[in-house]
Amino acid sequence: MRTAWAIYKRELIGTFCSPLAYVVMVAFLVFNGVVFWFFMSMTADNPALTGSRSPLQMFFGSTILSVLTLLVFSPATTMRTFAEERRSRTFETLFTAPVTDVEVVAGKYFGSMTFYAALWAPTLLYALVVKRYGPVDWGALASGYAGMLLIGSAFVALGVLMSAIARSQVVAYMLTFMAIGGVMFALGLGSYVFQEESTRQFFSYVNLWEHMEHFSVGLIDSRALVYYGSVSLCSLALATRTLSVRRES
Amino acid sequence: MIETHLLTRRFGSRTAVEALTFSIPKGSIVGFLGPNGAGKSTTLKMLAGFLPPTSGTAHVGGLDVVTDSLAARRLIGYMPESVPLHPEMRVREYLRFRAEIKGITRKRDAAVDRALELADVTDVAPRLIGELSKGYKQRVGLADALVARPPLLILDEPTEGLDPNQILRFRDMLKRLGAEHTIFLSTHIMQEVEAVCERVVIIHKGHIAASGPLEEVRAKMTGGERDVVVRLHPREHHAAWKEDPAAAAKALVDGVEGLTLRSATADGELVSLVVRSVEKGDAVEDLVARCVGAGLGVRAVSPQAGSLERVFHALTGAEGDA
Ligand SMILES: Nc1ncnc2c1ncn2[C@@H]1O[C@H](COP(=O)(O)OP(=O)(O)OP(=O)(O)O)[C@@H](O)[C@H]1O
Ligand SMILES: [Mg+2]
Repeated sequence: MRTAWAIYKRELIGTFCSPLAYVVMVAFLVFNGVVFWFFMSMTADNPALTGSRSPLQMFFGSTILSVLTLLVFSPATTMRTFAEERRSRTFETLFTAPVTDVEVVAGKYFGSMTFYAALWAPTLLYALVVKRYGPVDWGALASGYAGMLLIGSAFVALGVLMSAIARSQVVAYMLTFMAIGGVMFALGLGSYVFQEESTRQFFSYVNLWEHMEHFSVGLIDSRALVYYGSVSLCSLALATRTLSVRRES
Repeated sequence: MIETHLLTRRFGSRTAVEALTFSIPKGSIVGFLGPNGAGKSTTLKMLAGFLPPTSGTAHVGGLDVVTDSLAARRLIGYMPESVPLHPEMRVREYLRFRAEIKGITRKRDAAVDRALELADVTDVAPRLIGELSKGYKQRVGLADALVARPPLLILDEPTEGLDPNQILRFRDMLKRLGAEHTIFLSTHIMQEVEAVCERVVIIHKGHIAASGPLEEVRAKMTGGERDVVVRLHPREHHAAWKEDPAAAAKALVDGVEGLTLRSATADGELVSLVVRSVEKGDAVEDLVARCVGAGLGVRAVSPQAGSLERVFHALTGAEGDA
């Protein structure tokens, strides 16, 4: 436990001492700033189009823009974790210390989650902006953030796994991008493609879009909780396994 | 302290080391010698618990490095080849981190201070590792190996890439550390082994070529002979020596039991003789007595540098290295 804590702290140093972290954060804010402005002006200009949805709900909801945010930015929070240690060969000093693979993965995972949360933190200001023009549904907002953390948890875990597999940060980024894009979104599409009820239900269970929609209106579905929880745990378990097997080349 | 039995590691179809069996007693400084690609780093990585062996076993302090990996790793301070470090961290910060993951929680700062002191890096403690010179980085790596006070230090080419002053400094440090730690260090510099090690394990193309106390290995390989350099000042016999040093030297050495003359060269005022003597016995003393008797000044008597080098060459040379 202490070891995982030490690794977590070092992970934060490694992340926030690299200029890349700030590039990612600024890009994230610019991108989401534009998205938010877009939703705001849409609501203002054309209330009929957005119906009863507030800009914040659209921001966290299942629009292509919020999905894109996750797809593009969450791999960036994890690509460093193991790939960089392999490249700089500190991988070797790390694993010749008396640490277990689980402790290392835990430290890296929570380090990346912190980075992920740090990306989202400034968007809390958006709520204040909305408040100037109308009421804010604080419950829905909280569930929106909870949803982003939950989905993020699964994507970050996948990213940690890919970084453990990859040989460089770039490869780690691309693998995570493909894992999230391919598996998660393709799975979700299934619920629109298949007609048969049981198949449709299964795909709806793993449908990211539906989950996001629920979270944005204040609905925390326990099935989604179980789903993202299991994806996270399985990915982290696989990452642990990968580390003990793939020491070199 | 270290015992291996038929230790083997393959990378795919390529065999890096095969059937290594050797042991290293507690409290000694042991050199691990071999040409490039011999398998030194691979062996050390297995001992340090990083690479799992393909077959065979290795024990450190009685603990199997595979089945008892965590406990075995606690006994080892390992410094990998070319000393990987985190450039974005400060030296003290890095050592604190290393101390923590090595399980030092109480008195962490005292342990870090001690390691900084021992490795002689206290003066750069607040600096970024990425900004340090190579010599300092190497010593930060050593401080890391020392921080948890492990009984065994495994150092992979610790003096690689240092300037001559730094190398001497590093060797002195190792000798001092030898009082408290068992040290297993790899190198391909013979003089290094001669300068700091009591024992040696020589490896070639993944196989053990020789292992044991330095003198024993040397004696075995040279058939119990060694070369000694004698530097003479001919004084009043200057003319004779200058004219034909070989003949003069031959006349001098011929009468001494157990000595053969290898070469004689004049350099400036002095003449250097290289004589080969049996390892035991007092043939060299006899020669010195004879020189003094003949009115020659003896300026220096020293073992031929690189006599182990010849051993090494004999063991690993001929076919050329990969
Ligand atoms: N990760 C790896 N994958 C494939 N082959 C490897 C790997 N590591 C080492 N080898 C091979 O194993 C052999 C031994 O390599 P090793 O690095 O142990 O040699 P070394 O004695 O440390 O050499 P040097 O003095 O150059 O450091 C070499 O032939 C090398 O090519
Ligand atoms: Mg090596």
